[in-house]
Parts: sequence; structure tokens; C-alpha cells
Amino acid sequence: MNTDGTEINWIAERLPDAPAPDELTTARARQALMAHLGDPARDTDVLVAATARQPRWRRSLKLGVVGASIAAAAFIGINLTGSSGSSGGGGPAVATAASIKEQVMAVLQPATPGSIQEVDEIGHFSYSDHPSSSYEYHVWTQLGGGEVSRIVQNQTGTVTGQDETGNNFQEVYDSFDNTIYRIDHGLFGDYISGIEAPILQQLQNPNSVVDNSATFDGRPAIKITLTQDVSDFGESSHSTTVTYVQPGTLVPLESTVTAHSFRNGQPDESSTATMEFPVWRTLTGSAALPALVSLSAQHPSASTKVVDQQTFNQVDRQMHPHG
Amino acid sequence: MRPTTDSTDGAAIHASRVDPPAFAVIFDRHWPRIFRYCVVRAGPSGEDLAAETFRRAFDLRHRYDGRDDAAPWLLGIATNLLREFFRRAGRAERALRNASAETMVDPFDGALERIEAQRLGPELSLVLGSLSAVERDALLLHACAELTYEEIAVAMAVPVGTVRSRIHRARDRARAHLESLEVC
Repeated sequence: MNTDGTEINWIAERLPDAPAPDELTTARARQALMAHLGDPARDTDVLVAATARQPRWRRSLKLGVVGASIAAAAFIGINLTGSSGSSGGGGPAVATAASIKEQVMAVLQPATPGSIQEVDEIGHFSYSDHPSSSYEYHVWTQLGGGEVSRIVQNQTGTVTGQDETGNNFQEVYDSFDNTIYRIDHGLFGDYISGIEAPILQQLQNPNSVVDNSATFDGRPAIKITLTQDVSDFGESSHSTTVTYVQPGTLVPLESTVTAHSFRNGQPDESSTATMEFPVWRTLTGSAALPALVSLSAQHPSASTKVVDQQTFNQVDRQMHPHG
Repeated sequence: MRPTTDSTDGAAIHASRVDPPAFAVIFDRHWPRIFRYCVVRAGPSGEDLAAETFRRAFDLRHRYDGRDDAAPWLLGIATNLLREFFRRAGRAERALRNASAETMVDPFDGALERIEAQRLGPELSLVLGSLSAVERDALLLHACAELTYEEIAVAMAVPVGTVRSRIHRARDRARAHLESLEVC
């Protein structure tokens, strides 16, 4: 408050108190602004922040777990600066590490045109200073000939969002009025990527370490570990990403990021994000039904409205109110 | 190239004209101050108004004059939003009281709205209620947001002399009130 002069001082002293914005409030406002700016790449979601190509549904994820964003802020540096850390953590590097990484990456990006990648993802986020949160995603992504994804988001057993995203469009289904709202050439169009993107980014990092003699839930597994230390914006963070892959099929089983942030050298926040993948498979041939990636096919009685960005954002916020 | 933490607000806003996410730097730098100013004046509704300030600022970024510090500009936008908010709330309240009113002319425009008066409390309302809306805004930008006269001029897009006269008048009112209370 300004206190120059008796009158100003008198007024300043009688102004109502206002606390500094808490982290959740700040995260909410920042996310709303970033959505307004139309760049999900600036989102603070833990894993997805690590990739430059942000899938539409990942934004929904973060909006659904808004409490995550601040703790995840520790990872912003990772997002912005890429890999600047050192290798370490995990198990011993093996001679075939590079080839294992390449093979896993090939599985994550099936080359068969028209095939559909089906993934169920169960996420758990826990934080040092926010309530934990969970979500479920069911994702179908058709590759080749124009990538398109459909995502059904569940939270506490209820479908909370249904979206479809293509290279130059975006749709969201509102069950209240049985309408599919569509925007063509949406701002998010250039950011489409699959659910595999964060894991790919981990694999592509030369500092990730492969241990092909690990165990996961008592069974043999391949463990891929990446440790990163980042300093940016006056803060620093230390994170470890561990992904377990099933031997043989080489599909991901689980990916966990644990991070600690520091401010002025002192521990600040910590968070853990775990993504389980109970289903990860590639559908080909007759199993790769186009309807799997189509909102209109899933909701044949729904009407479709092509709207402008502002209207779409409004509907989107209604569908994802925490955003 | 994204602005760095040591780039000026002017540079960041300029960069955001072709790279919208660059505008996030502005939010990170000024959010606490804008939030506090809006919440002091509007209570819990201030949170939304503060958030809207940045969205509005982004939409208006092409008009930014390139100054190093965007705080006065942002506080000016926030002030306009607050004024709109109070005005809307007052109109809605009066409309409810008199649903048959045909005119949309607001005879109380500029007066201290009830919602703002409630927020400020009886003493401040007594002093500030006698001021025009722009005088009140100038005073609160000075007393609450800690802007200098020159910065208030930027925020309100008026000459510095106008700011001086507005705050002078506000101080006179406050002084008269204090004298009536024999405080000074």
C-alpha cells in the first residue's frame, strides 16, 4: 500500500486485506490464459510438458487434475529446456540399450497405415502440497493418412470428456445437448501426437538408461530410466522418469515421474505422476474400425455444430470445468 | 525466440505478437499484483477479474506502447474491468428492484455501487463514495496498487496533470473526513 501523506495512509490502512494468490488459483488462471493463447505446449503437465507436440487430450488431463499443475511446475524447466541433465539412477546400461530403445520406439509408432493404436491409461498424481488425483483415459489413435485420435476421459467412474482431434480439426461432444462441437483448423491442430509421445521423448534422450533384467510386479521387465536436473526461471528441479516395458511385446506397462523442485536451494515441492497402461495394443485390418476414432460414429444421433474458436473454448471449458 | 526472464515486458509482449505463448512471461511476472489489486477491490470476484485482465491484455497486446514495465498497463485494464463489473452489478441490482423501468440510462453511473461499498466498508465508502469513479480509480491505483502519478497516467490513459487533480480531490475529501473525525 502507498502510505505517502496522512490521507493516503488512512485510506491504505482501511483497504480490505487480500491474500497473495495461492498456487491453485494461480494455476487455474494461468491455464485459462494459456488456453486463451491456444498453446497447449506451455501446459505444465508433468510428462507431456516434456514434449513439444502436445496432444489435445493431454490438456484435458491436466485440466482435470488442476491441482497437479503447480507441483508440476517443477517440471516446467524440463519442458522449456529439454535435456540438460546427467544420466544416472536406474540399473546398469547394457550393450544392447540402443537397439532396445529403437525396438520400443518402433512398437510405439506402428508403421502400418490405417492401423489403430488402442491404449488405456490410468494416471495417479500425488503432490507434497495438493490432494492426489486420478483419471482414466481410453484412447484410439489412427495412424497414417491423417492422424486422428478419440479420447474418452473418466474420473471417479464417470465419463467427463469425449474429444476427437485431427490434424486440422478438433471436436468435443456435449452429452447434455447431444451435440458435437467442431472447430476446423483449430489452434491445437499442429500439436497432435499420440499417447506415446512422453515415452518416446524419454527413449530419444541419450541419457536414458536401459536395464533389461529388471522386474515389474514380480515379472521380468525392461526398465528405462532418465534422470534430469534443470535450472530455469530462478528455480531448479530434479526429476526421474522410469518406464517399464514388457519383454517380447515391448509395450509400455507403466511410466512414473518423480520430481522435486528447489527454490533458492531449499526443497520446495515434490510430486509423482504414475501412468499405468493396462491396455496397449495395435489394431490392424478389420479390427481397425474407423468408427473407433470418430465421435460422430460413436454418437450417430448427435448433431454437429461448426463453431468459432471462442465458442469452442466456452464449450470446452464447460466440458472441462476445472480448466 | 521466447523471451527470457530478463527481457523487458515490452519485448515479451512484442514477441507474443507472433509467438502467443511468449505472453506467459507477463502473467508470471504480474499475476500476484494484479490478483491482489482486483481482490482488494472486488473480493472473491476479483480472482476472475484478474484472470480476465490477462486475457484482455493479450487480446490488446498490439496496442501496447512498448514500455519496459507492463504493470501500469495491466492495472489500467484491471481497473476498467472492475468498473465494468461494479456497473453491471449495480444495474442488475436496480433492475431487480424496478423491473418495470423502461430506461437503460443509469442515473447512478459513477457512484459507489453497493457491492463496492460493502467491500470497502462504511468508513472508506463514506470518503470514496463522494468521488467520481475515475477519481476513485486514480486514488486506489495510488493507495492500493502503489502506482506513481506517472504510472497512473499510463494506466488510465490520461495526462499526468489529470491524475494529480483527481488524486488531489480525493485527498481533500479524505482530509475533510478525517478532520470531521478529529483524527488530524
